[in-house]
Amino acid sequence: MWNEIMVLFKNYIGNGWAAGLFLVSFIYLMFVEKDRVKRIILLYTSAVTVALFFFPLFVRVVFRYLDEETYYRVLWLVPMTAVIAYAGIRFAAGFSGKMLQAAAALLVCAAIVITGDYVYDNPYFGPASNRFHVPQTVALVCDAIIVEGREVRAVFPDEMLPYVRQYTANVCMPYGREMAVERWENDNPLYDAMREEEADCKKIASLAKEQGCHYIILHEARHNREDFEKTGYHYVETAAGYCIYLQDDAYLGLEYPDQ
Amino acid sequence: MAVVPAGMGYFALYAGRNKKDKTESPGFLFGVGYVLMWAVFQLIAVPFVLRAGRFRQVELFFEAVSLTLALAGGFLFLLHLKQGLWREIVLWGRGVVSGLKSRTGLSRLFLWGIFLAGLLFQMLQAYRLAYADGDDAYYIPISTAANLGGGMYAIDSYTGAPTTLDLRHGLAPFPIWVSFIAAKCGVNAAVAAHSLMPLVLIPVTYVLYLEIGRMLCGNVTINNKGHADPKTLLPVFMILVSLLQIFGNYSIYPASTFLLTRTRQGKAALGNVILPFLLLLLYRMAEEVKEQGKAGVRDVLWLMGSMTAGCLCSTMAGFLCGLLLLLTVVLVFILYRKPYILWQGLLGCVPGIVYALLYLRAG
Repeated sequence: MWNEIMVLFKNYIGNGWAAGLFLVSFIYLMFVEKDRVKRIILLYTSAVTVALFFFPLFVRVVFRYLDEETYYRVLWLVPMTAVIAYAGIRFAAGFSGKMLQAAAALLVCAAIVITGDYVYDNPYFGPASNRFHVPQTVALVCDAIIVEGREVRAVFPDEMLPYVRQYTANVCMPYGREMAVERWENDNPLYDAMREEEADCKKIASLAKEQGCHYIILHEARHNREDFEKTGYHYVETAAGYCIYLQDDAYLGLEYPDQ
Repeated sequence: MAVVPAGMGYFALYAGRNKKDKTESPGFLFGVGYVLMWAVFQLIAVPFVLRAGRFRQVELFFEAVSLTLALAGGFLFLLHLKQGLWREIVLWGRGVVSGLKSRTGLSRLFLWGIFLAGLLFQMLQAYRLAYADGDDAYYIPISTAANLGGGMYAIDSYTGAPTTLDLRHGLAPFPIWVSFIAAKCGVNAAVAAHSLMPLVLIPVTYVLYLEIGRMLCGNVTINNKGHADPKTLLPVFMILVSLLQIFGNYSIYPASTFLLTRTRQGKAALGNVILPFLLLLLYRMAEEVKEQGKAGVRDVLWLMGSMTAGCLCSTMAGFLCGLLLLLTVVLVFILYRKPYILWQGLLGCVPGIVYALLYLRAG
């Protein structure tokens, strides 16, 4: 359990520089801040929270009832932002003369920039293609298969899975993003078939039909269109580089025979 | 998302209050309004979610209650304007304008300008950049499906297949609030979540830090030099807060990373709206204990409200908010020996305890 906590802590503080800045701010305020209320709110609660985070009995109780993966959120109770910013202004205000105060404030800004990590450098950020913030390819493919007033079921390639149902609830899937999370250990032969380097179109079509998919979506570079002949699916169109195949006997009307 | 919480906050803070009572700052008023709006939504939505109700029912009830409270706040504000509040506002405005005429005033304006430029930059980036987060694949389809079909937590987010209620998520129906906002704005839930939410929730976070800053900078005593000028310290504090958010991506776990990458998710709202509000409230309560021996009755109500609002954001909120609350009140009790604060703190925890019991009973 101790190792687990240490891993969570190390993951939380990253390279440790920002945590170091917090520690310096904390120690500085311990010396200079005399207001008891500020000491309670910024310093004592922070110290007790961090102590509790590592305290085995506390950890055991929390792990028993809550998700271990989210235990790091206990550290959200440490008001790092307020402590560092407040220590920063106290430090700057401690100098005599406006020039020195401004220089000290700039020094604090530089310390934050150097010890921190620029959020917009995060590789998961990219220019938004639309107001939905889903890839334009997903939007175009979904627009091509949506039937207003009813749901359609389609199997999508891996890269589209997280976005399809964000874009529209009218498109259902045999599996979704849950397949991409390995530790959840989900299994679906259609997912495995869709991920193969060279798509086995007959196998995909057979499994897709078995799982009730009206449509199959495949990237045009990953298969031969001719391979879908006599599989029970036929080519409809290509949208944003993805070929769309529709089940031969699919009914996509709004009136159901049994209604 | 701005007018309704402001109206609710005004009503909550000033209804039944004596004219002589101290005036609350607009930032605190807005914070209270936001927390109350979410608390009311939680109290309305959860029973419908548990009873497999329709989204339209939640929409109707919440709209009626929130609009009533906001309108009541609006009327109260108009009444206070008529009773002389407008004079105070004019005086305040004149004070601001005359303050700008001095050199110090201009340097303060420059500092505020830097902070506002930083805030606008973050809002622009939130609109312009898409952050790929796997959890969106779970939360946003809940909002989209509720808007489309009217059911809540009745279908599997990933596939769209019918499913039974997942109580862990159903007790914290933040995606249903997103759905409500989408319905009212007439946009798709994904647009509301990705493009609208950050434009509102990022400023809300800064409003709360502004209030925290106002309290912290209010009485900064520097050795041998007396009090530092809070009007100059505050914009510097806000610039530092802003930098700490922009450069707060030292890992994927801190609340600062959640603010600028996953603003639309309930856990981001917990870390960046509810917890800062709770910090602010506990600070005020500790000051009141220092001055009067106990915190105000309304503060206990706001505590309960923030705990309930936290439960809308995340099922972990009951535990996290409760822990912060209890830690703080115990420390305040130890330092000031005023036992009343312990009872007030315990009372504030009640909504969190109720939701925790519901969660554990289901688990």
